[in-house]
This record gives sequence, C-alpha cells and structure tokens, in this order.
Amino acid sequence: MPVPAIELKGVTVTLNGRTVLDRITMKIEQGEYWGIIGPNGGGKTTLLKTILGLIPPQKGKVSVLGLPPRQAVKKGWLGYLPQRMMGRTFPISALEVVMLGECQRNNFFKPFHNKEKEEALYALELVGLADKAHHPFPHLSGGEQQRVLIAMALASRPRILLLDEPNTGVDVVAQEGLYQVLKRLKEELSLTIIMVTHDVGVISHFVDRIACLNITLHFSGDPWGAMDCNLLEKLYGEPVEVFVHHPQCQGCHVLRSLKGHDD
Amino acid sequence: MMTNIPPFLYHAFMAALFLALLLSLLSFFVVVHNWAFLGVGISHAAFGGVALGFLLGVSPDIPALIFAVAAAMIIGLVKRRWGLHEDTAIGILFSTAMGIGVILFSFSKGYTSDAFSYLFGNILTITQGDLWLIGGVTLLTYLFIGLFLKGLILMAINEDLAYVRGIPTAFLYYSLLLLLALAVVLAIKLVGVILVTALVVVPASVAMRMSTSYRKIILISLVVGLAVNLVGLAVSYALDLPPGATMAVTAGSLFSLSLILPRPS
Repeated sequence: MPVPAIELKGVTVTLNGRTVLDRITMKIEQGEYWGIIGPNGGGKTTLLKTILGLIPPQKGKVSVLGLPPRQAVKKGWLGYLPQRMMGRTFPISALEVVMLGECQRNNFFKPFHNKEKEEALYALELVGLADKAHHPFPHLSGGEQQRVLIAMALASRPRILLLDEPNTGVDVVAQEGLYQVLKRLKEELSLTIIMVTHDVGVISHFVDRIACLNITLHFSGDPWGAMDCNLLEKLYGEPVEVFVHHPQCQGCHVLRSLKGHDD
Repeated sequence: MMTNIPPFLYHAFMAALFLALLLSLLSFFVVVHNWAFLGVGISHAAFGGVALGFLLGVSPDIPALIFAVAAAMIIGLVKRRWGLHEDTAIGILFSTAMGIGVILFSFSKGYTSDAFSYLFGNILTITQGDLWLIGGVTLLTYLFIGLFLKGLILMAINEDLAYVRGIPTAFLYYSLLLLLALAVVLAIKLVGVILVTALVVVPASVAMRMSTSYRKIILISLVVGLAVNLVGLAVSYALDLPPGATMAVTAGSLFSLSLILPRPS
C-alpha cells in the first residue's frame, strides 16, 4: 500500500482564539482529485495552509507523503495556487512567472538557463497558453492569469497540487475549461490534486472525492454523496439550491432543500 | 582635474551618485511591495535618534542608525507576527519617534540649525567616511539583490508561493528592510528626513510607467535615480538652493512628465 499523499489525524487549528479547524481526520491517497467545499470562514484555506505547513496545528498531526509538511515543502513536492494573489499587477511576463515556479532551495540564486525556459514553455502548453508566454502577466485576463499560476505550480514538478479557489475571477465557460485542464493533468502527470472551491454543483463531475468542511468535517467521500441537500444545508447553515451540471450539457438538475421554502 | 572642485562638492557629488544607485535599486522593491510610506517611517524614526545624539553630545549618526534599523525591524515584526499592515505600524511608530525627537531637541538648547540640517539635508556635513559607508552599503545591497533576485521577485508576487518553493522568506524580508533602513539613514545627510521619500519612491514609480518587465524597470529606475540626484545637485549648486529640495522637485517633475506617457505594453 503506497503512503497516502496527505494524512490528517485529529488536526485542530486555533487562530486569534477562534477554532478554525476542529479535530479533522482525513486521508487523501496518491493520484486522487479532491474538491473541498464549505461556507466562507469554514476553514478551507486554513486547511490548505496547514497542509503546506504555513499554519502549524495546535493539536493533531499532518503528514505529506509520510513527512511533516515543512520537510515536504523543502523537497519541492507541493505546488500551490493561493486564493488572494497580491501580485497580479507585478511587471513580469507569463513565461517568467512560470519560470519562478522552478525556483527551488538549491537553485534559487542561480540564473535561469534554457532548460528552465523550455520546461516553463511546456507547462504553459499544458494549460493551453503557450502563445501568451511573452505577454505581460498583468495584461492577461483573470482566467488566463489563473492558468499561468497553475502552470507555475506545475513547473516545479510537484507530486501534490493544492489549489485555493482557482476559479476566482474566471467566467463560467473558462471555469469548465480550467477543471477539464486539471482533470487531464491529473491523468497525464499522476498528480494528487486538492482544490478548494465554492462551485458545489460543477465540481462533483470532475473530482474523485469531496470533503465538506465547516470547521469540522461534515462529509468526505464520493462526490455524489455530497450532493445531498440536507447535508449541504447543515454545512452552509441555511437552505441551499444546487445546480448539478450535466457532462454533455443536456440540462442542469436542480437539487433544492425544501426546509424554509414554500414553493 | 579634481583640484578646482571644492571637497564638499566632490563629497556631495559622490554621495548623490552612490545614493542614486542604492535608493533606485531599493525603490523597485519599495514600489512593488507598496512600501512608499516605509521610507517616511524609517527616516522620521531616525530623527528621534538624531535628537538623542545631540542631547547626549555624541555624533547623531549612530543613534540615528540604531533608531532607523529598530524602526524597520519593529515594522516588519508587527506585520509578520500580528498581521497588521505595515502602514499602521509605520503611522504609530513614526509619529512616536518624531515626537521623542522634538522633545529631546527642546531639552538640548541652541541646536535648531542642526535640527534643520537633518530635516532638510546639508551637503556640507558629508565626510569621506560617509562616502565609504554609502559605497559599502551600496555594494552590499547589489550583492544581496543580485544573489537573491529570483526569491525576492517571487516573494514580491506572493510570499506564500515563495515559501512553497523553499525560499527563506523571513530572512529575505528582514534583510530587505535592514538594507532600506541603512540606505535611508545614509541619505538623510544629503536630502534630509523629510525629502528622502522622494528618492525612495519616485525612481521606480517613473520606471513602472515605462515598461512591463521588471528587469527593464530596475534599469530605468537606476537611470531616473541618477538623473534626479545629479540634476538636483547641479541645480542646487547653480542656484544656491538646498540640494534635498531641488532633488525632490526634480523627482516630482520627472514623475509628472511620466504621467503623459502611454500605458506600457
């Protein structure tokens, strides 16, 4: 049995006196594509940052491919797309952004060589943006910027990709494109992907597993198991409507929790 | 050739030259990190040190340096440990340090003109020793930025991304603050506490209007910095005006001119 990509055992995180994650236990196997859903303030970003070692847990244990997170980071096993990117106006080309993804502890003070450039171009090709390599990053659309940042995360050849709301600022059509790209990359590169998103209905189609998080873990498992309105209502704390998108776009099914609705 | 140039002018010229190279390079990082207010904070904190030096009857340079470095480190610590924005920490620290400075100056009678020279700069106070210091810090800054450029750029884009790539972000962050504090303190003698911000903020701000490549922006920033300092110094000498003031006005004029440029593509 291979070592799990990520394992959390009884992880509790408190920030400024508030419990943000409460006794989270979950196991993500290598090569799985996970979606993490939940309301704002439910601890989704904190969970990713805890896996990355950016936030140490007060209780419990996190292992990434069998190692503590900071050691896994030093080995370059993790690729990350943060939710709020301050540097979207930074004066740099798309290609250079991707090349920065190839920085690693042992080479970050050496100049870039052609090999890095070729690999960065390949990563841009994977996300379908090779033709925009020399465009200034701030001039790209929100969706293109997200794809460049995913290429950047891929350029480091990570074994695990952590994406925090990659669909932020991306229109609906581009969102689907983004999920398709991720699904393809997962197959081609045998990546483990963990994606935080608000897109409850749509991701159910692309991911292998879903975790529903609101401080505690309400559900983890098969994506269709999470499409239960009672569960989602419990998770979000109010009645919800979920549009479940059909793969061939033959119509959208509406799941609706009846509680609190007269219709 | 140098025999006709008075030593004070030679010192001022060399200081202006090296400070342009030093501050314009740091200017890029100041602008991309939105640290425009940081130069103000550090220089005003240094004024507290200047006042303490006068009160104790020692050279104000050392206490000014200590105050500036301490201010930079406290600002960094407040940001990283407590998650406050740098501007909040700067606003509190700079008014407190300036207040301490004014109180200390009021205890040490008869130094108003000296206070004035630190507030607005006085090229007559620049010594050969200062030039060595400025040269040394400039060299150190170029070495640091040259060596860690990739990490510094990635950190300016997103610190968490830099961490994930194994870059020692805390070390780079505090080193950058330390170098900025040293550069600002060294520039105070030339342009003064109040006007030093112009040299920290303007070069990269002008350059940002001319290119979308950070490498070109850094180079343009150096050219702008050199133009500001050398033209400012020449005008000050020709018209017998304080050099800090002529440099700040030159910088402001160049920035205004840059506003008519089209958006870089």
